[in-house]
Amino acid sequence: MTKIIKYFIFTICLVLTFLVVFQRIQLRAENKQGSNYPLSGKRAGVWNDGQAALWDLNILDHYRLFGSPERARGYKPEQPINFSHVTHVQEKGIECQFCHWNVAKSPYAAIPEVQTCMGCHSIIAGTSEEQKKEINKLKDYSSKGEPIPWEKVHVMPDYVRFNHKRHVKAGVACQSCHGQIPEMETVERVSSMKMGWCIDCHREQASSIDCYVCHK
Amino acid sequence: MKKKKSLNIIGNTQENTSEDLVSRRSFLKVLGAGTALGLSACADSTKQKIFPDLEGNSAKNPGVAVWYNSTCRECEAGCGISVRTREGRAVKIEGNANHPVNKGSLCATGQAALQGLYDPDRIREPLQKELNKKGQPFFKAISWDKALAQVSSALKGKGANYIIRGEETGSLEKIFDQFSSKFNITQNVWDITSESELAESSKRVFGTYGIPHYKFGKAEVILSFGANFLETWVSPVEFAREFAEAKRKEHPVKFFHVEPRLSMTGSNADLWLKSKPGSEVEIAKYLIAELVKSKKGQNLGSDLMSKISSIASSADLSKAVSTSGISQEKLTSVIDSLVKSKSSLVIAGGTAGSFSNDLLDYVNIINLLLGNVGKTVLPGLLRKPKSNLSEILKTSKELNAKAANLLITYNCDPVLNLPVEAGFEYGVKKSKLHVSFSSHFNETTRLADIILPANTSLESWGDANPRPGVKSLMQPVMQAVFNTKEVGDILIDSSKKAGQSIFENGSFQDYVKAEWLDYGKRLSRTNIEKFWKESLEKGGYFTNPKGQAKIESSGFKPKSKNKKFISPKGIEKDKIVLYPYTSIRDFSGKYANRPWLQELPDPVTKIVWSSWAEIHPKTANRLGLSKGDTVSVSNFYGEVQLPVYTTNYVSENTIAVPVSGTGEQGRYANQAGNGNIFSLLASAYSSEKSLRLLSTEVNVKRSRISRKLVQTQGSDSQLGRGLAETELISEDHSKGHDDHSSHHGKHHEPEQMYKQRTPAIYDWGMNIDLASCTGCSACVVACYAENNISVVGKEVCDQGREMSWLRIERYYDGDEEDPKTSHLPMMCQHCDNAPCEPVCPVYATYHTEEGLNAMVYNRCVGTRYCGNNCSYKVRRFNWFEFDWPEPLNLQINPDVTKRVAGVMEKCTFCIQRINEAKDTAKDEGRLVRDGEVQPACAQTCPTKAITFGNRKDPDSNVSKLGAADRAYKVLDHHLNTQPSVTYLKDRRYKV
Repeated sequence: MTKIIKYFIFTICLVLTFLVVFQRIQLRAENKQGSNYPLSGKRAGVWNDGQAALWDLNILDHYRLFGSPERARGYKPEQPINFSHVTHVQEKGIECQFCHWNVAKSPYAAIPEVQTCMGCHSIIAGTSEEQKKEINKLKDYSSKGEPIPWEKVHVMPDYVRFNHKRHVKAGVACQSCHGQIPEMETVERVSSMKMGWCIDCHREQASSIDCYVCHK
Repeated sequence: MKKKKSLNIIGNTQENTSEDLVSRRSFLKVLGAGTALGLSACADSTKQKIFPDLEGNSAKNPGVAVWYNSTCRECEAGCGISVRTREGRAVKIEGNANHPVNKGSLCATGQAALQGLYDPDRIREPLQKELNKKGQPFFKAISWDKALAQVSSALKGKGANYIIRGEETGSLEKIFDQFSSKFNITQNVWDITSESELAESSKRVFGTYGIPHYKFGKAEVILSFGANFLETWVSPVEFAREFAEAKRKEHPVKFFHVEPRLSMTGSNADLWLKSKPGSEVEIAKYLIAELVKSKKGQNLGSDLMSKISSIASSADLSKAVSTSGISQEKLTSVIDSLVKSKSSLVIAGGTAGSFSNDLLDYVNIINLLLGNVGKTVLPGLLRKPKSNLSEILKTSKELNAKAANLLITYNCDPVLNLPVEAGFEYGVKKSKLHVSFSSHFNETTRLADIILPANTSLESWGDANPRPGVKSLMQPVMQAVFNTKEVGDILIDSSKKAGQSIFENGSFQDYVKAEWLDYGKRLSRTNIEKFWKESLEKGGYFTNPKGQAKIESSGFKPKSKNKKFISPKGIEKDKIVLYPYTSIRDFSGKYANRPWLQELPDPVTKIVWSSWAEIHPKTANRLGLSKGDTVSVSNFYGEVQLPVYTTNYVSENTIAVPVSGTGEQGRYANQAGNGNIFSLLASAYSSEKSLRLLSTEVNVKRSRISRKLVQTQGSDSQLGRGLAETELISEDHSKGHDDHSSHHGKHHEPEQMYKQRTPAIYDWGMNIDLASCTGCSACVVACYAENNISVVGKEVCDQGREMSWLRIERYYDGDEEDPKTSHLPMMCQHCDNAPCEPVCPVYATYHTEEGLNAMVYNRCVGTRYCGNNCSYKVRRFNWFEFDWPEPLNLQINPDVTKRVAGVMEKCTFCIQRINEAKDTAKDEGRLVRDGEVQPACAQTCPTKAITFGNRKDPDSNVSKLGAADRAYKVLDHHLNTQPSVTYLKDRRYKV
């Protein structure tokens, strides 16, 4: 009986080691390819001299073994309105802060009010059938006086305090965390947003890595 | 996994479909079971939605708090409040720093108004009483239209109409008056804590009706006969502030307190005199005689002096000593201090004041003799209460004699707090239509035929005039939580429906505005619209009143007969006097359904979640009772079951019971399980204008049922550890011998085992002045509100698992007759050598770069080693996950994590406020200024006993106070923990 347990534990250790190594190799490969948006930064120092918790290891997130898919990279929920950042940002050249106006004024980068959308879309009706359909959805919400039930892409746990204002004012580009939003038809989570990921950047930028900077 | 509504409110309005936190516990289970097997356990979704606003403006910036200034209506003091709202919901109430009454501070009850707003047992829509099949009444929801139609048709009907309401001021009172005169309604005001007897006595002695404005800050000696001015009496926040200012002076104020039961106010006295109940009159009389003897009051005029002399002639030292049980020595020392002082203040009130009007008159005369009137007593310069017992008793009689056509009750509970003998309940039941405007259930509202729920004061417009020169504005701080209406609007709408509108131009909001524009015109302002907006922003219009009321003391007649206790039929032996008193936890019994107040330990007894009976051990022995027993307190009128709390600090043959509300109010009041102590009071049909609380003798015997007594503090003694230290000062104001600290002395610098840290810019520290701390517990409630601390309930409290991060320890030194009580606020000391840190196996608790002892909740695995190793016992463990029943969850502060079960928690020095201040400072490119960060406890403290700041900065207040002579650190000399919290020793006179 004890032998079986020993083998079991050994197998698990083996699998874990394999996963870590595999992930490292993959990450290195991704970084070499030079993808459009920066990946999670370098992995060194995740262990934090042994002080990091096991679940902060990127491995658990990457393979979605733990936690929900909403907390992992690649989460791409279907939105009530098929809003395209490609059209708005890449093609029309609208600045991020034109719609997300309070990102530099508040800890939260709020979703723009329906009124903000209607500022343009009371005039702009769209060109293609598809666009017209989506814009009509917006007009429906507006005329009914209902808020649009957007699906949240970046869900953070309750114990985390992230201040958008501080980061934007410090010159951190939106893309560093959110990825190449201008190229996204549907917004997708490109960063793990795990603690190790945050700390990596804080270390690079020589920002404080005191727990109370982010934990509340 | 159990599905749960998330309380995590970030950004725009969001709704969670399930638990928002990755369950830490389930994660551990997974680890235990083997990594690969646990996949399904964590499959719960964390999907969230974001609902953006429809329209935006710069004031509505999600994530940034919006503050509204308003006025507190929990008692009649009229403190200004600033309400912090996040994403459209009120999350915290603080004092308005502009307001002259409270200057930024607020008491425990005022802050708990939030839980009145979000009371889960609030009346949510108009209700109508109907009978079910069994013939039992129940309330059925109806529409506003239907409900108002019934009221308006009753208004048109024939017969006598009555309004019974609580004390109101300003526009609301005016519209009530207009409404009742239009529809020919008899109006009664009833509030047992209105202190109208003080106003009456002022009329008799000074010739001005109204409560005098007492200036505690200007007095050198204060003598109080049972007036608990630091708790519930007249204007506690203002008085506490002034009292503390007087105590902080180089020559602190000397304070004597005479009462039968040690109250929180009494616990702050330099000399506490335990009197037998009802004997205060004799002492006051003797005092007058002594003052006349020592030739005081020579300038009062011969007519007045002859009247005073006639009172003095009946005084007798031996009688004063024998009836009160206070030694002659002590009485002489009180009189000596009063005679010698340049300015003094003598007050009476509360339970003692309600017993005898003579006492109040005598006290006013003593102030005349001592020349205090015009200096520390300003007659008629505070509010003028309308509450009148004789009139409501008359109404009660009329209601019983002939059924009323319409009875409206609002903001009062006469069924609870009128004596049973008045038969008010039967009169109410007789009336054809009883309409209640109450927002919460209480004994009276339960009897209503129709309930038109009113908004609470936080959802309403209005104004208040707490004293001349202070006109305070009320504005809604958020949309009504439920389908309720402002009481002003209910009056306007029902009058419109009845065809005789009392206000044509809109709603009650317009009414208040019209009043203020009118007021602006009277002040001859050119731009009255601007005046309105400015007042709204500031919270009111404040000036210093000029002139004083003239003193025409001629009206009072000294009475020869003394009041006696009523001994109703059925009592033969074991006569014990019932001494009910109002407490900060429940005032007049209105606030029983507020969990914060229920879980707030009583400042003196440290009892939570129920009312109790204080009995002297000797009396308890005689009755065969001991602490924790349940007694039945009864007389001819009723019976109340209470747990016994034996204490030396109550007069013998007295049973002291706090006034409290009954279980009718809701789930929390029901859990507390209080009895209605008013049901024993027998003073019906008296000609006095206020209820005599102290009037009846009762029978006390062991009860068959048992009620639990839950106390949060074990030992009453410091056991010589020098936790709360006192510096005794002698009469000549020179520093005396310290009673505790001397034997510790300055100890040598100990050898340090751990590496000593040197914070770079900020080293946060706190300073608590025990001379200023009165034990009022406002800080405790502020901490609950700010930091989302769970209320755990009576059972869990009994297991010693209450969650308060900040508690006030109360210790007794000295003997039974002359106790020296200390109040010691105790929270995480943020030790530089924190014993909790090295024992944590997962680094969940550590020291930050800024000298804080931090706690990372999601890293904590719940070993509780830190709690065991903490020398101050300030760490709290979440044994369970406690819920905030809707809509109480709307109060949750989004800046603070809501902790889950299995996690340790403790005071963080309000890290969220530190971070906010640092954020603002960074925006402006500077360092945080001294005083910019105020933790919730320091912000609300009425006496400003708590100072917070950067210890690294030598010019900060906290550094300066930390270097003072009186400064010491709790247990540091024993343990070398190096706390960041410095205490300043209490200062008491050696009397």
